Amino acid sequence: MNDLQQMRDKAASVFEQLGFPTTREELWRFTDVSALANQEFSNDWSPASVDFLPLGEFYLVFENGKLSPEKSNIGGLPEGIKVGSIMDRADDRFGTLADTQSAFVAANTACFSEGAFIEVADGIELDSPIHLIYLADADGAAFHLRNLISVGVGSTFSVVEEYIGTPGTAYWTNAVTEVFAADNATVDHYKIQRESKTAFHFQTLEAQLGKNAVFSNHAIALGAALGRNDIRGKLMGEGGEAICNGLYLLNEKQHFDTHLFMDHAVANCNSHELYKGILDEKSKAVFCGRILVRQDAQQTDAVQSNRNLLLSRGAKVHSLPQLEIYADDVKCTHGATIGELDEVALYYLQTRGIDPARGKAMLTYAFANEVLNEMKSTPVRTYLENLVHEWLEKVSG
Amino acid sequence: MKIEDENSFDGLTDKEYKYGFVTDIESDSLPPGLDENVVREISRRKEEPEWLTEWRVKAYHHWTTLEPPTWAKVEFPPIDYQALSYYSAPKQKIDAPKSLDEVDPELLETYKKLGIPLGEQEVLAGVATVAVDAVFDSVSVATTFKKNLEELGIIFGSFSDAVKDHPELVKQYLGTVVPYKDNYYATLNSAVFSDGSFCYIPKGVRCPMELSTYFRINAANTGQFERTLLIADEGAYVSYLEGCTAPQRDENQLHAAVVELVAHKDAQIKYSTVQNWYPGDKEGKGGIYNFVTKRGHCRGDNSKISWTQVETGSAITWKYPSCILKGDNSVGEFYSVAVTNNMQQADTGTKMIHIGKNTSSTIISKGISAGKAQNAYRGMVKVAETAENARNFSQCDSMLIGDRCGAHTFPYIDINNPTAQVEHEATTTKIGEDQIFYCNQRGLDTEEAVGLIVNGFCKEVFKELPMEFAVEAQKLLGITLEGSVG
Repeated sequence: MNDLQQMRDKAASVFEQLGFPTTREELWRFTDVSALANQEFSNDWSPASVDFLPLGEFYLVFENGKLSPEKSNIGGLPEGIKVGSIMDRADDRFGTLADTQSAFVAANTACFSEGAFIEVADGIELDSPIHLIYLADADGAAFHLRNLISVGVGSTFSVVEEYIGTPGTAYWTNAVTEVFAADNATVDHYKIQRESKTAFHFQTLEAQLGKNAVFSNHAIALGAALGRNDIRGKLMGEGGEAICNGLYLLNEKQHFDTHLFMDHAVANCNSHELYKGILDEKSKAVFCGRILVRQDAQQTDAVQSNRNLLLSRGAKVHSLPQLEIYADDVKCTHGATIGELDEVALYYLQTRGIDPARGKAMLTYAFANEVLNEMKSTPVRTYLENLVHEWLEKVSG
Repeated sequence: MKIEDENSFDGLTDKEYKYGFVTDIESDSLPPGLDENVVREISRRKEEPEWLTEWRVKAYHHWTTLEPPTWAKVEFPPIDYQALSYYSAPKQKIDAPKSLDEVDPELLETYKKLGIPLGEQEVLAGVATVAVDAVFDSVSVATTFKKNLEELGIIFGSFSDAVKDHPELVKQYLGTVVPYKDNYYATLNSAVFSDGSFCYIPKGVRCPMELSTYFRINAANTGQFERTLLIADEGAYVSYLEGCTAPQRDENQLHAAVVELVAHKDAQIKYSTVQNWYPGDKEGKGGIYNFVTKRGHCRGDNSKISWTQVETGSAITWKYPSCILKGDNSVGEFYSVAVTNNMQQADTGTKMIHIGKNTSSTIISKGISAGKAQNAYRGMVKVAETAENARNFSQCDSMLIGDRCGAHTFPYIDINNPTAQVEHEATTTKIGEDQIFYCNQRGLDTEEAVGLIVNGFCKEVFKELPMEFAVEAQKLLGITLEGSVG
């Protein structure tokens, strides 16, 4: 990684030039990061005492931004799969996907000191997901985490990124993940964000798909006072398919922002996006989903939907589904809905002897479950079902 | 209503912009350039009261602090505002014609060519049932049926006359919907607007005929800045039509108009536009820059404002007719067809701002893009915290003809009240090849088939247009899409 220092210097100067984004910029119109920008973060390190539950045989654990070999388990990985720290590996493709003009990516590139590196050779199939666990409880710390995941031709692979923080601690996670899915590869990427509700969480996920590659991303957000996911998919080979689903469950004064960008660069690709949100108390959600179909990306099939359920007065939603289409032989749709629970459905349940509180909980869970249902990994799904139930109980109780 | 009219395809054989002629008429205009003196001079020539002059000057000074907006998905070279002339009036207006007989026959001929009946006898003979205010180079030249309308207490005529005859009404309402600080083009308009239409419908009056303004740009190198103010008092109803054409010229011309609508309690306003400014030639040379601010204010309870627009002309369209739904139970509607061909660009849509309780809004937008055109829908639905039980339904469909054009959808949905029910749907597809094939089989050529399919695609919007406009709109659609296939 000879060029790394050069890359870092360049990124540092980009960040210096850009600074933190302001709400005057279109992409940051509804998300004010001044609270983050005005804070100083320290580099002191301490071990983290946060509980976690591994969702597969193999897992990497990062404690307050540092890899903990003791807590991790990557022994006995099948041949052809390499999992380790990004600091120990070199890959020419590093930094080629992530948007160099984003302030958060620039800060990450300039400062990152840890992250996961996963390389899957061609023709490998692994059922159990690799679980990347990021634990945080260091008040006033900033974690710039950098991950690179590369999946070879025809391989099937799944990975879970989970961010867990101790309630009450305030810190800043700034992660960047680059995913390369080669031709015919199938990659399932899960992201579970359970940061402390007083923390800042920002992640940029960039994925590039080869011919006939299938990439699915499931992003579940429960934590952080101020959180944002920037997800960008690039369909670079014909026959590619990208699935981006998400669920955000927010309460108190949480603010969560998803910016999704799907780039159909070539013909014959599909993309499907389903984002759902449940908002309670004074929480606020921003969803911006942009589908770009370039001039020669004929036969594109793109579907996007964003649905929001508002549980209380004071909850707010900004939804911006966008289509930008330069090819004619395409089928593109998007939809957005925002509202309360359906009173007719509630009434129906009541007539069947289900009291309103329980009826409400059932309908809310059903609303969220549509996203969970799309997940292929049973352990991940079960784990999330429990988290959603827990969240709903807290909200209704 | 019958939409299929075999004549509507006659236009397909016309290969040129039909309204591209220039009327040779003496005009009285200011030299190019803009400063405070020009603003004061416009106001002086129009013999305006002091408060209006000062309002214009305030707007001018604010304008000098603004930058042109760049967020719209349109591209054009920067406009040199000092190269434009800000006032052009047909000379004859200075000795103000007392009746239609005194109007310059050249002008009457122009409007006859455009198919606008200014002679009331034609109307009486049953040709049309529309009262027309004709605006020529942003000066109102004639208003028909003024008398009949006056009997009902309806004030309809040019903006300048209204400033003279009903200053209290103008003062009360001007700038209350689109304030002079609103946006770059609206602010410019506030400083230099030359004329436009004014309309007031008194309490409980249902306007017995369609009111119409016909805008015609004639002079070269002039900017066109009309201002329309329409007020429907309690329980009133009015249906208003607006049409536009311009001569064929190689330079781009700026048209920055402002339309303000006010609907009081139980009032209803239906505002329809067929915009057919000169779109420029195939290579994108010339054409009108149509940068218009249109906004309606549902001030009272149970009021309703409905916008219907058919946008076929202009090199660039930048226009967002909006509704502020302040009164409880008020209703906002937006029906739009935007067609772009060749090098045309359109960035158009609406804003529905829900403030009152039980307010509802409907947005139906159909975009058709052909050639190398770019067509964007940009809209906002905002539900304020106070808007209990607000309801919105939006449907934005785009159709692409050819593989070098673009269709874009940028909705903004801001919801601040949990009782809101908001739905937005958008689709983008190619024109159906099997449908064209089906028509070909039945002996229709491809161009006719495209016309049929597109008219069907837009039917939901056309049915909202008054009869005469619906037929015209269909013809226009055909002409705009000429040469887009094959």
